[in-house]
Amino acid sequence: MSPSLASLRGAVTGLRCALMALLSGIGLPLCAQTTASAAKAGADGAAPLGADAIRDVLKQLDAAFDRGDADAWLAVFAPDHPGAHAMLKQRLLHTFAPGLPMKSTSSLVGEPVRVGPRTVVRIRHEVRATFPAPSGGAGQPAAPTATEERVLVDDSMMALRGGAAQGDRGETAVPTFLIEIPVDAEARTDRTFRCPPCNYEIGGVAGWLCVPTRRDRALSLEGASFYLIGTDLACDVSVQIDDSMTAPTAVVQRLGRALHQLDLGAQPGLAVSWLPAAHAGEPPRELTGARLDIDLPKDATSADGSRAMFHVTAFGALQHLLLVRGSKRALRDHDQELQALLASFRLLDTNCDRVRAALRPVEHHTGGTLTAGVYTNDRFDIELTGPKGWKAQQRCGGAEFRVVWTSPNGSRLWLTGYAVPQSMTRWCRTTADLWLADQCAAQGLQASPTADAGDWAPLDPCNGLGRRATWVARPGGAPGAVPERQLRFLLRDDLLVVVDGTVATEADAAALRAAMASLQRR
Amino acid sequence: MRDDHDAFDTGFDFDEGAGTFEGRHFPSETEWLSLPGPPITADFVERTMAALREGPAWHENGSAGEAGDPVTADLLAAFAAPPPTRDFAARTLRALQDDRAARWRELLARYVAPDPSPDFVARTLAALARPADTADPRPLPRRTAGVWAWPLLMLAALAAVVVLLQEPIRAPVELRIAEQVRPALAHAYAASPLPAVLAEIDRQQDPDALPNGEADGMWLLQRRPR
Repeated sequence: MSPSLASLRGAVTGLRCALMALLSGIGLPLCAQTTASAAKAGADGAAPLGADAIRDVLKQLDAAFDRGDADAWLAVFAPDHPGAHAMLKQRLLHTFAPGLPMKSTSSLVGEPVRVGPRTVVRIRHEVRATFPAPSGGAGQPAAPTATEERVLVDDSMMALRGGAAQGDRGETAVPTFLIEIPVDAEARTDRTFRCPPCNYEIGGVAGWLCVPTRRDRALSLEGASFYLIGTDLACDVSVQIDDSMTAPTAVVQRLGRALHQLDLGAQPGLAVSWLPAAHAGEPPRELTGARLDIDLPKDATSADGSRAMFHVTAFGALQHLLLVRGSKRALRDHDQELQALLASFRLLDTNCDRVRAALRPVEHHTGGTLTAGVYTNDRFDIELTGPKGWKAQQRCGGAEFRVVWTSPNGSRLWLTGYAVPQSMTRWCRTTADLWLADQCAAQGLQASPTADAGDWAPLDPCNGLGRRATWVARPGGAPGAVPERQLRFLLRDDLLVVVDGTVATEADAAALRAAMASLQRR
Repeated sequence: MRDDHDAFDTGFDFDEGAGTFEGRHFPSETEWLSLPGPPITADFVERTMAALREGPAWHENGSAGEAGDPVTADLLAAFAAPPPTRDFAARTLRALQDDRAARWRELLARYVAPDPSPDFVARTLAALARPADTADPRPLPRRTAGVWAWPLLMLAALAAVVVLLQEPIRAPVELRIAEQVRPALAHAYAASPLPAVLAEIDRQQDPDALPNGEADGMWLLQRRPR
C-alpha cells in the first residue's frame, strides 16, 4: 500500500471514529478507544493473512453458492465453532430450499486483522436473485403478480487460518468461522461494546471478537455475541426489561428451565448469587445478580459435553443477560480469557434513578413511551390509547415494539409493530397476509370462515391500509385456547401493526373495542 | 372375557373356537374401520322418535310413565344452566375424543388378540408332547447346534448391548434448539440459543399473545406467489 493511500485511509478511519464518538451522545454502541490502538497484527506480532489468499476463499464460496451446493460451500471451512457452523448450514439450506437461481459476489470490507491465532476480516455478500415483486403496498393498488431483480446485501465476520502452500499459488487460507453482522454495525476486537442508554459496557479483551446482533435475531432490546477466536467459546449479551422485577436467581432458574424444555439433555444446576467483578467489591445498592450453570450432553463435536452458564444482573427493571457457552474442554483451557471478558462487564451509571434506567433503553431502541396508559411511538408516528384502569407494559422481543394492557379481570390488549423484515424493501399486502396467516396458525387459530373480514382498505387516521379480522380456534387445537379473537391490522410500507385483544368478561368488551379503534397517526 | 353389556352382543357372535366373527376371520384394524355398520331396520327412526315422544320427561302433565320419578318442566326450570366457560367447547370436544379413543382401544384390544381357544390349546399341547424327531422333519444336528448357538447368542446380545448403550450423535446445542423454532421467524437462524430460550419464556408467560418475533425476510420472499 502506498504511503499516501495509507494516510488517506487513516484519515477516513479517524473521521469514522470521530463520528462514532459523536454518535455516542445519542446512545449508539461505540468504540471506547481510538483506532490507533486497533493493531492489524496480533499480540504475538504475527501478520494477518493477505487479502489475495482470502479472495481465493471467497471465489470458492461464491462458486459453490451459485451452484446451490451447500455441502461444497460448507466443506471449504475447517470450523472452529461447530455450533456457529451448524447454524450457517441451517441458513444456507433455508436459502437454497426453493431452488431459486442466485448469484453471489463476496468482497472484503476493510483490512484483515489478526485476532488471537486467526485472521479476521469483514466480508460483504451481494446475492442477486429474481423474487416475486411486492404487490399492493400502502400507497399502491394490488398489482398483478410480477417479479423483480433484487440484490440482497449481507455482511459477515470471517476468521481464517493459513492453509498448506499449493504449488505456485503461495499463501493460502482456510476459513474457520463466519458469523453474520448487521450491515450498519461494527465488529470490535480490542474495543469495548458500550451502550449508554442500556447502561453497560463489556469487551475490549484480547482474543475476543464482538459481533452485534440484529434485534430480530436477538429478541432483546440489544444483543451482541463475543467469540473467542480459534475456539468454540462464546458469550452472548442481551438487554431485557422486566417490569415485575423478578429476582435474578429466579430469572436464571427460569432461563435454565426453558433451556431444559427445549433440550431435554440440558441439566441445570443450582442458582447462586453473582455480581460482575467490576461491582463485586462495592456493590451498588440496587444491583443484584445470579448465575446458573447448565450441563449440556455430549454432541458430535464435544467429546465430554458442553456447558452453558447464564449470568444475570438486575438494576431495577433493567436486566443484563450474559450466556457463556462452549465445550467443557474449551472452558477449562480458556478460563483466564473468559474471566477477563466477564470482568470487563460493568454498568456505566449506578447512581441513576432505576425507573429511568429501565425506561431509557426502551425509548432508545423502540421509540415508544407510555404515559397514563397512552402509548406513543415517535419513530413510527403512531398512538394508541389503552383502556382506562388497565395495567400497561412495554415488552422486549423481536418485534419492533410490543405493548400489553391487562385489565383487573384478566382481559388483554396487545399492540405489536413489525418492522420491514431483513432482505425486504417494504411491507405489501401479500407479505402481510402471509405473515399474519402464519402467526395465526402458530397460535392454533384460523381465519373465521363466517366473519366478513373484508380486504385492506385505506385507514385515514393512520396513513396506511387497515383491515379487521376474526380468528377462531382451530378444531382439535389445544384445550383452553381462546375461542375467538378480534384483530385490527394497519399496513404501511415501513410497518405492520397488529392490535389484538381477548376478553375475560363482557364488562371489558366495550373498553377493549374502543381502545382498538383508537389507533391513529400522531 | 366377553362383556355382557357389550353392544356387539346384540345379534352378533364371535366364535372363539374357530376364531371367526359371523363366520369370517376377524378383520385387521383397517378392514375393521371399513366394515359396514350394523343393519338398521326400516322402522328404526320411527320407533326411536316414538320412544322419545313417550318418554317421561316429555309429559307436560309431569307423569313419569314407567321409567321412574317424574321430571317436570317446573323442576327442570329450577336448574339454571351455568354460563359456559371460555374453553367449554374445546374441553368437551377433547373429552369426546378421549372417550371415543378409549372405547376403540378397549374393543380392539379385546378382538385383535383373543384368548386361545380350547382347540388351539389342545393342538399346541399335542405338538409339544410329540417326540422331537417327528416334530421337525429336518432337525439340526445336535453337535452343530451346540457349537454355534451359544456364540451366536452371545454375539447378538453383545451387539444389542453396544447398540443400546450408544448415545445418539447429537447436533450442537445451537442447532438442536434452533430446529424447534418456526422457520418463519427471524430468530430461527440466530447463531445463539439464547433468543429461542427467551421466546420460550415469553410464550410461557403470555401464552395467548401472538409470538413476539419478527418475520424472516427470506422466508417471506420465497413464499410470495409467483
